[in-house]
Amino acid sequence: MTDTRNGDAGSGGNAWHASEALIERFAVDPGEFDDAVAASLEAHLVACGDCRSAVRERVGDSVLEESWHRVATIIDTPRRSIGERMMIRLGVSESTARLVAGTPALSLASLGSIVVLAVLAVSSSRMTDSSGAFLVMAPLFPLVAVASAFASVADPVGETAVPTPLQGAGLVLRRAVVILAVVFVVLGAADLAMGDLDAPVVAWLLPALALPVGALALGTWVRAEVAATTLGLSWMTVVLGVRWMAGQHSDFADTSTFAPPGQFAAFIVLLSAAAVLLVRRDQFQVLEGVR
Amino acid sequence: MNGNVKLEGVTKAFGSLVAVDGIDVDLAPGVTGLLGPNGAGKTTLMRMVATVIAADSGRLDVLGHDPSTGSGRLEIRRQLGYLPQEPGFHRNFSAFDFVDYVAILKEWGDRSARHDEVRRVLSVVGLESVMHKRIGRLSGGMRRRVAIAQALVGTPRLLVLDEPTAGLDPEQRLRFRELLGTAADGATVLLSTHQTDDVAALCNRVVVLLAGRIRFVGSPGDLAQRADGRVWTASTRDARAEVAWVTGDGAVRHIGTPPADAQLVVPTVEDGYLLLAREADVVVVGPS
Amino acid sequence: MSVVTDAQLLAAIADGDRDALRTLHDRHAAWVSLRLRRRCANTDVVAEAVQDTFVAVWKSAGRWDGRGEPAAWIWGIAIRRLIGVLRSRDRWNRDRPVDVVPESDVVTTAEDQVLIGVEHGDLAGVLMQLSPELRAVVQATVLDGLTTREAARLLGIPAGTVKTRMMRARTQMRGALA
Repeated sequence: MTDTRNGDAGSGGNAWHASEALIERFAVDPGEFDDAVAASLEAHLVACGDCRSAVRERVGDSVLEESWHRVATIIDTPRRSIGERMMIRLGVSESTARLVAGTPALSLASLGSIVVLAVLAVSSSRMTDSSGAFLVMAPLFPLVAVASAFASVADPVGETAVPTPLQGAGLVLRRAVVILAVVFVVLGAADLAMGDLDAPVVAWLLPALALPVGALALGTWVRAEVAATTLGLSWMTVVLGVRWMAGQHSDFADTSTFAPPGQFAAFIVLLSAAAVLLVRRDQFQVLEGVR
Repeated sequence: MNGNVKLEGVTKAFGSLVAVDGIDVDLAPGVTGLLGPNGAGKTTLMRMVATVIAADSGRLDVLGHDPSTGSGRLEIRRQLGYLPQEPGFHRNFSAFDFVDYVAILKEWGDRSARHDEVRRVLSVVGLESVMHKRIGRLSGGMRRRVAIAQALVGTPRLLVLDEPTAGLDPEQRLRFRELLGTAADGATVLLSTHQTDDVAALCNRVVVLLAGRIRFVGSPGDLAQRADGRVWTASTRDARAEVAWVTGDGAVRHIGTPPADAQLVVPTVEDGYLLLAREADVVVVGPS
Repeated sequence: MSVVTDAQLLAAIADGDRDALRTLHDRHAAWVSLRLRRRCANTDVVAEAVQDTFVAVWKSAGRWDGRGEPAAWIWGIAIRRLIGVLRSRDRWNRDRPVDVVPESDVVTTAEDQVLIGVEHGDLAGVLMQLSPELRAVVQATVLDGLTTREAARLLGIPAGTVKTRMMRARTQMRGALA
């Protein structure tokens, strides 16, 4: 073979190295090589770092620089989670999707616990053969979810996130909307799982909207945890109080909480909370939220 | 618009503990070091300037804006880089993710410009190579540098850095001094530390905070000068000194009222600080 | 001054070291790209395959088992990425995807050892005696370390044909090397 030289160069068992002329030809026009010469050169290159760097020397820095830039652009782009991709597909901007996806409340663990709780609610309703338990519990789901969306611990970068321009109502509301959407999908599925239970199952819907929006509205005065706890306790008080007035053994599902009067009240709460939120949205208590 | 930070009668209490007690100070562009022992109110003061918490009373003017109003806070935050004393790190975030996330919060909407900026600040702190490692796997000093990097995003006019050199080894502290010299050019920097040598090396102004009150404002040289004629060395400990400690070369360094035959030495920033603390009857962490 | 070995670079890459990937790219992108150009004349396709290759190395450096030559492992990824890119440009051909990262022992088959072991002049001579069709199959399966199915995709012939041609080539080569 004429294009390679036999030599004693290389101590690690490499008996020969490709000649400069061969490497030059390979680098300039690899397509023009005849197969046999190329096959032996290729096999050699896999085993010989010296000849690889000789090839590399023949290739311009700018070519490699451009090639590296292509690689760097990809590896420097953070991988998007499934949730992030879904949000982007739904028209959410890339940066917002990233912020919302970073919310710990949207982690798999949190979503898992929401599903587990929903299953518990449905099965306890099935066991008592009444939709009562589910109706009482369902509105608490979005309440807790929203509270976690704007609690001070909600941010993955902690206190660093507090004094930033995007911190505030906009971010809180975006997170809340996404978390609520997820929770309502779970609740909707749970509702379907209730199936043949007779009561006005969908009666949970208005309270389930009124409570989280109410918590957001209240959150313009007090901290998230306080707002959510207050509303959660109020809800339980109302539900138990109404049942107590209706008589000791009545079914939750039959009380007026889930009948037109209760639904109307929930609707009024929802509307007024939304109005308060609109007016006071700049007053979110994230400013004082940390410690 | 000016780069000044002005505080008038600013007070902040947590329950019965008054952390910051009626502070008046006016900071111009340049590097101001906030010096004081733990619990002196440094962090509380910095968080008020950084719009993280609100003052109970008094007036703040930060870059010409009032942090007690929503619009004022927004304007301040747009020009602010903030390093909290204990930045939270999401365990699954890489250094890149972390800074990228903060950059989004700082209104860097355009993705490729944002990523360029993230790379820039991470290379400023020398972390380009490890920027894709999970933060949980970085060393303490590296994490501190990640946190410093996010504060530099967008080259802010106001940098509030709470103990930026904590956890950095001497070599990294030196590098931090270099980067602050370039990154903070023309900006107003407020940094806290309890390292007097940081103050001497970094700051053109020093504010000493003791028990929630300002005890000194001036140049590091002025602070050292306060101890002029009151620092001496001797081979044995002199009981009349306010403070005395054995230095590395075996001599005993004293601060206080020197005896007539004392061998006076040129005071350092640390001497000035220790004397000040002594006069205010505050026990500070002893000299290192 | 290359005191850091490729194996050490791969370990650092598995640990998330971006500079290590950059160094590895600088060492290997050139020859990998030229070698791919011998299988595909379209420089856009080759550039994309090289890019995909180093992105795959970045993501799966931890899957390199530490045995064998890193260069061979990288080439195994590169040739598969080339097939992947070619296939993604051919919208009518929707087969199962090619596994991007080969097992690291794929390229050290017995035939490969034989071929690399012999004096390279002899190998060239032996290969030259094969017909171009047989030579292409030997190149794809033995030198590029592809499976029969992958070689079939790259060459655009049925897998059965690859097998029969390889058998014929083996017989001829054994005769020539004996």
